[in-house]
Amino acid sequence: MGLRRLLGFIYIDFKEWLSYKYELFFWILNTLIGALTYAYLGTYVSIQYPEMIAEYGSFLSFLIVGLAYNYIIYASLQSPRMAINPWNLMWRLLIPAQLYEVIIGSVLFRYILGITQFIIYMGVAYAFGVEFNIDPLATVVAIMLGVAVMWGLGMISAGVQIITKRWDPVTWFFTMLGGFLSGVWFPYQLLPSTLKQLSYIMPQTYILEMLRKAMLKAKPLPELTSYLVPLLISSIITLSIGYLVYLKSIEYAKEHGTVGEY
Amino acid sequence: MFSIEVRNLYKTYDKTTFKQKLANVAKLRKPSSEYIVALDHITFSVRRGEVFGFLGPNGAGKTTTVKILTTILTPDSGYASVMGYDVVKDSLEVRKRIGVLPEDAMRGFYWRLSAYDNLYFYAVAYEVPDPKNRVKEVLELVDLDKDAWGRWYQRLSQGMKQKVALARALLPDPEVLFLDEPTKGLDILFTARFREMVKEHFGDKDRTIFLSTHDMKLVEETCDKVAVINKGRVIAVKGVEELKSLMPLTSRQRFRIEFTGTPEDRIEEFVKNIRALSGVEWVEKKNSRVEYIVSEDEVEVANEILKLALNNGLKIASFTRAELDIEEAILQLLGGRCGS
Repeated sequence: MGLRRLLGFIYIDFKEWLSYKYELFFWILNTLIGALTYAYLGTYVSIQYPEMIAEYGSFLSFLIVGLAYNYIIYASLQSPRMAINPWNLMWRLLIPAQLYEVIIGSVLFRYILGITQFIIYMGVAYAFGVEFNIDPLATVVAIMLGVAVMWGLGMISAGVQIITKRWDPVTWFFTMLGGFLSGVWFPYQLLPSTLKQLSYIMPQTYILEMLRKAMLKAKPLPELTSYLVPLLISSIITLSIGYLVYLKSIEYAKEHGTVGEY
Repeated sequence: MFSIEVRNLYKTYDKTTFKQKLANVAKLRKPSSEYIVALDHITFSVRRGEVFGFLGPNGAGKTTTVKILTTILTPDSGYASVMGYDVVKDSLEVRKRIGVLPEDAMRGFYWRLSAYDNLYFYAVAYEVPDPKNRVKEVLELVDLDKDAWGRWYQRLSQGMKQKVALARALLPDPEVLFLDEPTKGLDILFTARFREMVKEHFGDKDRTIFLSTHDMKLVEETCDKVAVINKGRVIAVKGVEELKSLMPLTSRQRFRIEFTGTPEDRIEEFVKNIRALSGVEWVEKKNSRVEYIVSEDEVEVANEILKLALNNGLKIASFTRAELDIEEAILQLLGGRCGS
């Protein structure tokens, strides 16, 4: 894979992002206000179920991992669709590179932004007294598996959109239900029992649980196999299906002459 | 060696509407589709270093052909190669060797970034050696004013945008350059310069240029060979002069008389009279100009007509054989009327 080519993608996305001066200003403002809001929520607002939160240290610690998920892992669901969309698909396909290189190059800057935002949140959380108790290996594995699962789903979503041009049921499903059922903003254990059953089939639930245990409880990988195995299987399945769906969608668009349509 | 080879290429588009498809599903009918034949087994080849014109009316199949050759559309059947590489099986190798200026050239640019930044990105993505210098080279080659280099793409004029798109096509120093309506939106000065650049193959005589255009002057002045396509079929692949010679005899025996100081009604009377002459196939009057086509001995008929004009006291300003250009030759091939 050409490193220079990947840097080229980062360069152009960064320049374009910088060109939106007001958005840049509000991005910084939003990140700071968001971080302070969560810090305030986590530090001063009492919740009804302290015993559930105690497992995670504090509500703020709980939220911080939710934010890590939101900015880095959940972003993977949308990245392939946003980076290679019907508007620019033709030009991306004309670049003399393998498709995976173009896809990865097109999304790298989004990850850099997401990681930057997350670091700011971590800094604010640290200032408000959150103690991170991290197992680095388990954390990295949890993030990578989370990214892999979401990438697979994101590729399915992007593939569907190459054909439908707008409608995207995959992102809709996981955005609408993921935040609610999987414990991004509150522990899924607080859900009524029927809904709790549904959260067990959402991959995000496993990602978040594994991430929280790795980042806040320093649980090593051998103790996280109940999350690790389902995530490993899910990532293999979703990535394979996602890549297949994406390739087939491009083949479909090439056969039907809709590559340049949007 | 051929730069481009197309053999028996066939492409259809499904024109079944979404509504029809839904109706089929609702009525549990066996899915039936209606297809439009975009390319009907076309065959042609382009030699290395040739400037090849690809002409035809709208909807003839020009863009479909360009899309297949540039690997963004898959044919139903047949074979096409660029620089010896199959456009379907070896699409990556094909893309490494081509530059493309599509009809809708403004897509794929970052509108809030400068012409320079856009081209720099593509230079890096295309893995062009020394990208900064190459960007400068191509911007100079397409004559984009230096003060426009740093301007946002969306703030450039239509012609400037087209120049930047042309510069993008030239960035990888391609062996084969595909140009779809390249002079669209360009001012006359740059159009003339563009013709020169095509003649010079943009600095490399080995470069093959595949030119799809409606600009007949561009074709006449630059193309070595021309293919005419209509309704998905290639109806002629000839040199420009050879193409003109394909005109039917009647079309080549066309004459034009220009009158001066003659009332309209007397010209109309004259037209009626020459229509009655034997050997005159077709007559048309446009203001003070009359054109006619003869099918028999042109000298004898011309004498008759001149006599008729002078006897009726008509003042002749000029009497010429009508010049035929490639556009008319193509119109003839496409079944259009000569002189229309």
